[in-house]
Amino acid sequence: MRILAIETSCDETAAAVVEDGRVVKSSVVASQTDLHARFGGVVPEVAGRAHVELLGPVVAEAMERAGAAGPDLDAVGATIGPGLIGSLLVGVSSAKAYALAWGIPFVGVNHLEGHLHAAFLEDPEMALPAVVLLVSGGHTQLVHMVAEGRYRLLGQTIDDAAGEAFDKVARFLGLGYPGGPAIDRISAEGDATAVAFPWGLRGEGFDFSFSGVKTSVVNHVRKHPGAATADVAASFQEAVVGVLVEKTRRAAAAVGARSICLGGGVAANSLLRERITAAAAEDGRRAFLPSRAMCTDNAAMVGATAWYRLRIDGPTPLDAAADPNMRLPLEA
Amino acid sequence: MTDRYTLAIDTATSQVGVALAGPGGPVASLHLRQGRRHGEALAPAIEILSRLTGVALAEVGSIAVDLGPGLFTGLRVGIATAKALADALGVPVVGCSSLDVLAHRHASSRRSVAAVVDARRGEVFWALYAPAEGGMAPLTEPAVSTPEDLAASLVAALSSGLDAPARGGILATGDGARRYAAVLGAVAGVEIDHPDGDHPSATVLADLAAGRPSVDAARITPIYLRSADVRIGWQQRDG
Ligand SMILES: [Zn+2]
Repeated sequence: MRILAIETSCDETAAAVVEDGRVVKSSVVASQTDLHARFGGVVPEVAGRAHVELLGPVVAEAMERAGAAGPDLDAVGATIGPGLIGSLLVGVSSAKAYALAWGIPFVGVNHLEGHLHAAFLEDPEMALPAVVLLVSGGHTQLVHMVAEGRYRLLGQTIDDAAGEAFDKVARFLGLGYPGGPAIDRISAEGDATAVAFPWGLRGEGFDFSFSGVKTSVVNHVRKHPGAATADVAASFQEAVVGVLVEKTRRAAAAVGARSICLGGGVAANSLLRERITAAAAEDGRRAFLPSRAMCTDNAAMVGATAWYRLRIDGPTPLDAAADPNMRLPLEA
Repeated sequence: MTDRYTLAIDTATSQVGVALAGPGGPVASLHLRQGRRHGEALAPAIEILSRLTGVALAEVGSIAVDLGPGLFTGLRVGIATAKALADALGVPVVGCSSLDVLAHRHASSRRSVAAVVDARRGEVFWALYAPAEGGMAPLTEPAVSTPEDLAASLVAALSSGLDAPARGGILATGDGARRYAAVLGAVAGVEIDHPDGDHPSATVLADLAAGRPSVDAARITPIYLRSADVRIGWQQRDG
């Protein structure tokens, strides 16, 4: 079964053709990062406008690379939430139209479930149950993946998402946008032990808080204007990654997970990948780290999830609404 | 392509409108005025129209779409849908301005028309038209302004005889004219249109599009008339 998948929930315009939920025939991502860089963050109206321009060419490219034409496809999937409503609607509307024109089912996909499925695309043998740390500009969640399609939420951020903290601190330090890669890069030259920034909610369950460390960075720099930016960035990254890894590790132990998995844009962070790999090895668990391209927003993960959801739930009605606040379908 | 059907999509205002027109003229249309349900209603409306008329989408030879100005989200739903349909069906697109569609409805009335779309935030998108050979001719460029500034422009237009050759005063039509009827209707010589004219009609769009050149779907872009609001969406962001 071949599925054309579309992802437009935030600032990446993406399309992919995925076979049987596992084989990526093509995956095309047009990043709008440059468009948003001068604003220091994603601007919803700018993103919505760009998706309208970019989606057609991106879909055409994905179809061409897959060697697919409309009649070869069996369904069209699109991210239906969560995300920016004006962006989601471009992908959802297009996907519904393609499905209508080709006379095949439409499948609305939960973006977060897409991230959880991304690991399977590169490693179909991922051992379950798993604990997945989903970290991006909009989300920070620890999810217990009991089996495929069965999720329990173990913890989540009570304020800023981890990626949001990276963006805001990078902006404050004058490192530009997006903040994640900028801080990752400069931290390599800094001393991570230079400043002991607080680990939010350390020792308290599996929830996260990143507004405290962000404020501490601001206060520290104001008090020590001469502080080396690389040292501040590295120390900040140490505090964020430290608490992410510590809680993920404890969560995996608490639920008896066989593996630990990463997802979301922040999962591309070098220190986080290194520490999670080491922690899993030490604890005798397998670590599944999707490639950077599969961690950040893409449509291949949407195609994999669409295939799974089509088998479980059937097609999504054409009058389904995009939901900017959609949550993962969780078990109690 | 003239022997095939045109599917018209109009989501520039709070209304969702679709229409099918064949070689012999309008075939069917559906207009929903429940407000701002573009993302939910448009695709099913197209499906229902095709099912009830027995006209398969494969028989559609061109897509007509309202390019705005209007509600940004509505426009994107309509234009994204039109582009994807055109791409999948391998047919071209004809884009028309919402103001042109509003005015074209009155093409046979021999009156000058102010097409006025509610732009929210206390403003309106508007343009003035006069009847001419073969349809309505725009007298002004599309603009965005306060209703008070539009009222002043209407006064100026009427006093300069800009409503000639019609000389029947100006008919203000569209949801912007409805919302600001008190301001615009206070201008001597201006009449507010019947509520039927509050939103661009997909049937009128199909008719207007029939006389205009079609283009490749990739070349279709919305008419925003306003630059993007650049507040960062921290709360809604997902990377
Ligand atoms: Zn994401």
